[in-house]
Amino acid sequence: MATTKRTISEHDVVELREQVGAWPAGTRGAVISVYDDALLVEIAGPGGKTLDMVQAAVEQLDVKWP
Amino acid sequence: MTSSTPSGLPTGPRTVPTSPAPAACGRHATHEWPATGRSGTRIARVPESRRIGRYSCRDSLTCRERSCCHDAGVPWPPTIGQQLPLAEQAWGIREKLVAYSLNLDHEVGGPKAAGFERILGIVRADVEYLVEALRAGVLSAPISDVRDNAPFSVLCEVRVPVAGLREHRDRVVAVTTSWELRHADDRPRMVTAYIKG
Repeated sequence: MATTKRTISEHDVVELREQVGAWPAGTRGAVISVYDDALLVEIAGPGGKTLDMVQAAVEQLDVKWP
Repeated sequence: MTSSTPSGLPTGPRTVPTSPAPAACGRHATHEWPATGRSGTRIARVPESRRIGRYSCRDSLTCRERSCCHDAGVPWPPTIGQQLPLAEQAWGIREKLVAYSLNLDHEVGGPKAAGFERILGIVRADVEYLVEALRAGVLSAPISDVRDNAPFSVLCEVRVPVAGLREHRDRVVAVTTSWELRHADDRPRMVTAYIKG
C-alpha cells in the first residue's frame, strides 16, 4: 500500500502530537518557517505575544487549520 | 621537562595557550568570546574549557557555509545591539503580514491582528503602510534578542517603532519582529510580528 507523506505549509495551524521542548502534546501553534525535514512552530499567548518558537518534525504535528 | 615520541612530537604536560589563538587563515578575523550564561547562539554554548584565546569565525559551527562572514562585511552570528545584517534586503514582510500577523481569521495570527488594530489602528487593508514602516525601521533599530535555531538558522528579534493610523496617529508603539537568517550572507526574512499588549 502506498503511503502519502503529509505536507505542512507555512502558516498552517498545528497541534503537537507529543511533547516538544517544554510544550506538552495538544499545544497549538502556527508554522512560521519550513525546512527540509522540520518546521519552526510559533507558540503564542492569547494576546498574540510569542511565547516560544520550537522545531518539530512533520511526524510530531497534526494540522488543524486550514 | 618534556620528552619526544619517535615521531618527534613532544609529550608531557600539555601547554594551554593563553594568548590569542591564531586564526584559521590570514583572511579570517578573530573575536572575543561572548559572555557566558546566554544560550542564544552556538558560540555562547561552547564550554569554558574550550574557550582558549579568541575564536575565529572560520571555526564557528554557526558559519555553515564555511565561507567567511567578513568577506561580505557582515558580522556573524549577529548579537544583541547590532543592526540586523543586510536589513536593507529584508524580505517576506508583506506575505507574513497578510497571511498571518494581520489576518484576523488565523487562529494564532488573529490575536496579533487584533492587537495591531486595537493599539495602532492598523488593519490588513493598511498592510503597505506597515510593510514600509517595518522596512524603514529595521534599518536603524538594534537587535534586541538572538535565538539559536540550529542547525537551520538564527532568529533575531528587532523592536521597530511604528506610528499608528487615524485616531491612533499620535501613538508610536514598538512592534516586535523576528527575522530568520540561514547563514552569514543571507537576507533576513520576517517570520513573525506582533505588539506586546
